[in-house]
Amino acid sequence: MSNNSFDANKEAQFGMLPVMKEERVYSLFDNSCINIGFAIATWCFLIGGTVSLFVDFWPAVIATLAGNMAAVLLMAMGTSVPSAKYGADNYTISSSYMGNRGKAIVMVFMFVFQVAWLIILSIMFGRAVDNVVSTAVKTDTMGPGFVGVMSIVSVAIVFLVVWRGPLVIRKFNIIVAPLLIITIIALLIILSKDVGWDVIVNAPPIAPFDSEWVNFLLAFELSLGAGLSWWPNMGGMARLCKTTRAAYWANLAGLILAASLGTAVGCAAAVTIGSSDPTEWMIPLGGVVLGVLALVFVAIANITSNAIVTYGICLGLKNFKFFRNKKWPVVIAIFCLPGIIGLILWPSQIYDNFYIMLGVTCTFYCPMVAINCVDYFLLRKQRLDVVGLYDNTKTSKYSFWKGFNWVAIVSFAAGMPFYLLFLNPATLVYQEPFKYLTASGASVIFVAILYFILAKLILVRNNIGGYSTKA
Amino acid sequence: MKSYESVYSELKGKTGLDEELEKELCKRVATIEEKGDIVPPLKKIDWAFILALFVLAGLLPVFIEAFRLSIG
Repeated sequence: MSNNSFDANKEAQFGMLPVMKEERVYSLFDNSCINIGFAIATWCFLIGGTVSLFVDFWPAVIATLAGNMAAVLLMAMGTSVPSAKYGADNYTISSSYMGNRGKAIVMVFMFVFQVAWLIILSIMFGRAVDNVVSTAVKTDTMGPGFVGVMSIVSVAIVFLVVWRGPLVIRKFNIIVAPLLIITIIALLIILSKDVGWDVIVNAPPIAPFDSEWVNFLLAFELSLGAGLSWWPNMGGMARLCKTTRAAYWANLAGLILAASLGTAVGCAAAVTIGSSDPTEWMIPLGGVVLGVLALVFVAIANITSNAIVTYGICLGLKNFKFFRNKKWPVVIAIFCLPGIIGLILWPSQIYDNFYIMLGVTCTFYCPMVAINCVDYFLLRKQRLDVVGLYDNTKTSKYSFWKGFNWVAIVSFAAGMPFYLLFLNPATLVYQEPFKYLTASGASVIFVAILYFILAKLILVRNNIGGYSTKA
Repeated sequence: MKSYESVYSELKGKTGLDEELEKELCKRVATIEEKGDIVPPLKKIDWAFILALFVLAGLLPVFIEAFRLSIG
């Protein structure tokens, strides 16, 4: 390979160029490991803790698996499939439905959300390390200062991993993913040995509503929301997969099965010992050696997840003028900087509002997934104009109205408050219609129908956005 | 189907990339335009599995739970 092609390959992995077949590095196995490493982190245990407020163990497992299954299968259709087909990340592809300037709207939201996730996952790493070290020196905690420093160390490790790129992410996850699965199963075994399997499956939910149906639906809704919330992280990895199957089906192993397993452990722990976060109960229950080992893996799990979050968003940032010709480490540093500032100034304010953050992002991802899927599958029949994706001027098919697809923007804007008619994601207070459709389900269906009708009436009919041509 | 020259004439100066990178982008876009895609899309059997999983593992458990609670 010549220097020029080597640079082009590098530019494809760390920049905007579509990744060609010969440059793709992920098989189905690789991408499954990456997905497992991504899905398993402290967050899935915490979601399990929230699910345990409403339902006991088996309904939690059923609701979690069903919610993740429905949401991830749908979400990955709009992200993994086109990204694998065209070698472009989903921010580049979002030009086709948001407009070549409208994709900046997506990016602004994503940047804020992903910085928040960077902070939350880094604190999760810091807390896990704190538990390991405090056990070693026989104290309760090393203090918030120590957690803060370790959180910043976590950002530094993420920076290094993402700087080295997809091959390092693959190597890292091929080693870590099987160990994470073993760790989770060990957590469940230790938990069931210590508190008893009967206790786990018979323990009542912590704070349920009166209606069993509503409780089940809330557990289902939380998993739907979590499943849809993987949206911003999908395309970056899918474009590196050797086949579309490798890009799509790997999600089944990671985002559906592994995430559901982690959520089940979080739920089991929460209903029996009152804490879903294994970093708090592993050492008392598993003993020092097993506990510390498990904590180390949970800490690493937060790093693998954070690396994929950071890689995806940094690729997306490359779509924008300010970042386009900047070196890859500079782009990562610019993304990490607000994360470090947040870790220094407001760590507990951000970490303690984890659930609000998850809820708010749900109101965003429901309309986004709906518009993404309707546009790609129903309106464009899986065919994109590749030239249009990279043309940033008004000559692009995806220019719409001065770069903005107002039909998508209006549909998106209508979808966010529509979600709130069913459920307040921050307080989990529901309204009557929630019992029939769930909030995520209703929001996705509503926006899908609204966008389809408006797009047919306005875009396709007036030949705006390149819908009426074959491309 | 578009040639490199045709893609380059369409995209030149419109991508915001350096000249060398823009040429490389155009080569790749021309290749994709020629083939239709980089890797083939999912097959019908995949879509059948997706639909089956969506219905059987995503929706059916919710309906079963609704039925179970309604008769309980």
